[in-house]
Amino acid sequence: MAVRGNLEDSENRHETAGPEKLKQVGRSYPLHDAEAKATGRIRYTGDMSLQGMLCARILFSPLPHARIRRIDAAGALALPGVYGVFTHENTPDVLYNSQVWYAGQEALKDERLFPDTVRYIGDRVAAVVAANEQTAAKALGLIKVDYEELPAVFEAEQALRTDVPVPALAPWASPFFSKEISVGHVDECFEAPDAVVIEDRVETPKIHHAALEPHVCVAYPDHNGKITVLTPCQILYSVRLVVATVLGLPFNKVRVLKTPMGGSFGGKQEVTLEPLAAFFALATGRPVKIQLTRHESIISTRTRTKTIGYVRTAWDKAGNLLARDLKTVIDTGAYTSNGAIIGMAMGKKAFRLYRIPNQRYRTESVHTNTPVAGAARGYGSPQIHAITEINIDHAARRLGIDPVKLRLRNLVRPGDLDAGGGPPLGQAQIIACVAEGAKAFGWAQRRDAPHGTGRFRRGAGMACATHSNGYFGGFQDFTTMTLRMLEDGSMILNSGIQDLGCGTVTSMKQIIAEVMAISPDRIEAPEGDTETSPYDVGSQASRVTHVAGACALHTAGKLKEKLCREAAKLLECAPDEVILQSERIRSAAHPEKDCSYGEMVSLIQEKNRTEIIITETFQAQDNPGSYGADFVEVEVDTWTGLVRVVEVLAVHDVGRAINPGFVRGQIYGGVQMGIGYALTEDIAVDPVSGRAKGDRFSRYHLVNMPDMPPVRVILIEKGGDLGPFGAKSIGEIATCPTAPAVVNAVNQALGTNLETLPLTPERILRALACQ
Amino acid sequence: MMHKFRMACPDSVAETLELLAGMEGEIAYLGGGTDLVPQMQDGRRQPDWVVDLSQIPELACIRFDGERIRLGSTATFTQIAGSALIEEQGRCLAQAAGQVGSVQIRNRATLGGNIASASPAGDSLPVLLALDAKLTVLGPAGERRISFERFQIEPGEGLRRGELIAGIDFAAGSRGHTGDGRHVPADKSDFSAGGRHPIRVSAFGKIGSRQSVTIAKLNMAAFLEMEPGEGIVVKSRLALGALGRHPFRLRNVEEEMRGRRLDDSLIVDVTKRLQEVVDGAIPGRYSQTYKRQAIRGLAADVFGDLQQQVSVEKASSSNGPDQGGGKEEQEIGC
Ligand SMILES: Cc1cc2nc3c(=O)[nH]c(=O)nc-3n(C[C@H](O)[C@H](O)[C@H](O)COP(=O)(O)OP(=O)(O)OC[C@H]3O[C@@H](n4cnc5c(N)ncnc54)[C@H](O)[C@@H]3O)c2cc1C
Repeated sequence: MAVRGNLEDSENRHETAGPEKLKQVGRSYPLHDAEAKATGRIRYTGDMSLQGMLCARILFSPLPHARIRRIDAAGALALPGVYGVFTHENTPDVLYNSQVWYAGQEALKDERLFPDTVRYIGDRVAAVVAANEQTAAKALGLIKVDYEELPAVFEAEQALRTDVPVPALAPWASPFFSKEISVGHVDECFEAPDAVVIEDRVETPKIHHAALEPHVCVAYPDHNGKITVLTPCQILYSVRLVVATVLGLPFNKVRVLKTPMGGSFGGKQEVTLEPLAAFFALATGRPVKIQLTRHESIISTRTRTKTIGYVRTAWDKAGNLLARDLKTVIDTGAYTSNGAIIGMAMGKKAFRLYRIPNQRYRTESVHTNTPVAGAARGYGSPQIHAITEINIDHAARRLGIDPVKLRLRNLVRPGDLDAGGGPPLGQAQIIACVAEGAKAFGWAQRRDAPHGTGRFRRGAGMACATHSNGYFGGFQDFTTMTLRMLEDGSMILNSGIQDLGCGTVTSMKQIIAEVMAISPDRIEAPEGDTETSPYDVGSQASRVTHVAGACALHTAGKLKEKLCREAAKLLECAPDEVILQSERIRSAAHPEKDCSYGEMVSLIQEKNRTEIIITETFQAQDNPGSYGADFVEVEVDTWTGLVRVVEVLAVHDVGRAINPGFVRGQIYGGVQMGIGYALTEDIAVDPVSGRAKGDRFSRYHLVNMPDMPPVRVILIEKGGDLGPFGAKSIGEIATCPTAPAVVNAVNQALGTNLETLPLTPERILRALACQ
Repeated sequence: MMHKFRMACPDSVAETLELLAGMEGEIAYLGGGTDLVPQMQDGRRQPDWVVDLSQIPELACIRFDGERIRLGSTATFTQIAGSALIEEQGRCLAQAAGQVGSVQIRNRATLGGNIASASPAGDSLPVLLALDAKLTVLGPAGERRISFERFQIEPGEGLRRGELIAGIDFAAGSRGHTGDGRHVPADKSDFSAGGRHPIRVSAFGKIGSRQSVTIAKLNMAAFLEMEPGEGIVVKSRLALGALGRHPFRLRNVEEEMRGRRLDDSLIVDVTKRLQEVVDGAIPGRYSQTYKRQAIRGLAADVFGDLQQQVSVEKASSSNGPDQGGGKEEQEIGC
């Protein structure tokens, strides 16, 4: 495949050029597997067929809460082609938590392969493993289940009520987790006589990640008791941990391989099908595939948390944000998953965007009899920013101050510390994002333009957001990589990376290529294999480019040192006199004795009896904020309640774009998700039946191409933090400012204060009717 | 994951009918498969026989026989939306066709399939009411012709076992043709207003949850025949969908529109009546509140479109009537 730099690369990028002239970093190479994907040659997990492979299908609970009295599988077992029926009676009762990513991590463990009491519509009752899908499906219909229905609760705040009895869902009472972070003197600020207090209750919906590829997994046993799991996931080592724990196997008897990713967005950041497939493979002695339908993926895997946010801010008349009091109620659904730590992830963001001297954040997580929430692009960040940024605009309206000016007055500045005690913010360039964005968007003109008085009203809104760059400051964060140069000068990176389709593989190649003066094409960077690759935390926490990328940079640096050291012996010069250029190597003193990398590596092997290989562990040492600001114009049809997003400008402080094409791709997709979050996407669990209304794409509305507005992107690249070449994360923050910016624009157009997402036509008309 | 079934791919209607005689069990015709295939995949439908109609040329045509516009049942929405003939003679059908699903869906989905599926929100259905379309149905017992309205609502008049929809036809509706399709030269018009021909316009509108690839929460089609001089409504047909099991005609409203000018006050009155229709159709439903409000937007879209067409027609009618069809270029597949 020909690789080309993108001509647009220099456009809309505000760089403070580093001293070095970069050759590979900063160019838009295509994804390493783009051509295979576009031509259909790639083999996704669903395409895989192994000799003797069986198919499993799962029976999902039709009831929101019920004790299983009896399961009669005789009919299913009698069907020819059925190899096994699995229920709570014949599977391990080991409890696990699907989101732990390291051994020894504390988390409530409340999930098992098949529970004896189902807790939501979509919980696992049984599974059939059969020769083919058709037989498995038919057998599912023959399983008879006798349920004893139990009372259920579908709304988080209902679960928290103390005045009425609430059904005990889990061994833990509601809330099962609560915590507070507090700085300064919050209550005093609200009592100050001249404080302007702005109060909101914002609700964000449960949404589906909507990856093109529904959840899928293949597992197969071997003759030595080892289970291999093929899965398109983000967290290979978590899969190993949970599968080994549930099956009672040593870690080295569970091999997990990352398969090509057909989309995840956090949906495959938790262990869902893998322990089932592994167990079935072990039990039947055959390869087993489990592939969910869209409907099953929506109801039975993971969602974004439904979150209710109470936010109060105190301001002085000039628009200084004196204090903020925040509370979130997090509906994590029927099992705990990340229900505890996501509340904290939300809270931490609240201390890293504005300079707020007095702030309190409280969070409570509850279980409900609804689909399980978990990781979802932004990991709480879209939720908390929707809550806080809608409130900032509300304040701007009440104070009579332009929202951009109000924000510029209060936003954090480069070098600021985290008032909440987290890692320093680093080169936090949010002011540059807002200032550049306002100019490029024509904010002042658009904001002041008449809204119109007829059927269609126009409005402009904006919002800001911050996100992390790894786990530093919270959890251990490190990566190990092994890099080699082969006898023909080509290279192999052996690491635990997991490309989610964002371009991790190519980005790592570009970073290494930059250091080694080699073409990225000459590097192989396969994705992780828990048996052979060094450990990696996973493609999560927006850590991959910043932390794993830094590991690639350091490893390449060490490899280059070694190459120079060994070559120096042969070139009879000092190591620092060795010059690497365009895949050729020479000494400064004798440039005519120049040879290819391959010739040199071969010579080193022959004469120096060693290999050009390095294994390096990199520990993250910073966790700066990534920042972004979205500017949005909308047109609202006040008669039908439909909103058209007219244009979006997204400005992101990414430190340095390793591959600007990938960065823009992340932003376009993030904006698409953000608009859906603001306007249309909702699993919408019925408060009476507990059934998800948005349980299929005909009733769950993504923003599709005809509804996508033009999206302009500006990148702020001022570097300065410890990522490779100054790079910071983009994958998650890309979606964080969009939804509140859209909501703020709608509220400006209509003069409303809509704060329950999504802003469906029904909600918009209701708000207009109340005016 | 589909269950086992047998499949027939006849090349002609005659062959289809012959094959039918030997088929046992449930028979499903296959048009574009955009409804049937997903239903078979998830097991909601398990026919014993699937008979593919897409290879039968005589079912795929769109033509004008001088009186009526005739569509074969396997005409796809892409063909219909792009047909100059339909645009000219039954504009609301072209509009509805262009708003079904996505490009990919329209490339496969057929008008016959939309009718047979009979979804409450099917976009072609209010159109067929507004155009007063007739269906030709073929089956083991021979051929029958039936108005779409009766086909839809009368017990026993829907599709019987083995029956297929062969064609759909409606009176040509452009200016220069009478409601029943007779060509009326301008100078011999039986309308008194300056001896000019009547103006016929039609429009379709839909409200969903997004601009495209959306199932209608409300859809509406309107056909108006106007006396050209004063712009008085002589005849109209109005149909609403997604408000119950079937779309339906609004004969009372049609009656009230007669004799009135197509001005903003008419639209205001019609909108009020439409809101009452919504209230009557889905009283107490959760969606009632929204639909009764949103129908105002739909009415504005549809009637605004009609008004605009009328003004364009009026402007061009002073230049004499259009000569109809342009037959050769416009017909498809015949
Ligand atoms: C993503 C998506 C979006 C959609 N959007 C819309 C939309 O916006 N508006 C809308 O109205 N519909 C929509 N649909 C539904 C569907 O596309 C239409 O109903 C379409 O017209 C069905 O036609 P078909 O040719 O695909 O029918 P098929 O699926 O082939 O058949 C549908 C049914 O009709 C029967 N049938 C087909 N042809 C005949 C015939 N000639 N005689 C008798 N029976 C027949 C079949 O046996 C079957 O029962 C959508 C579907 C999808 C998947």
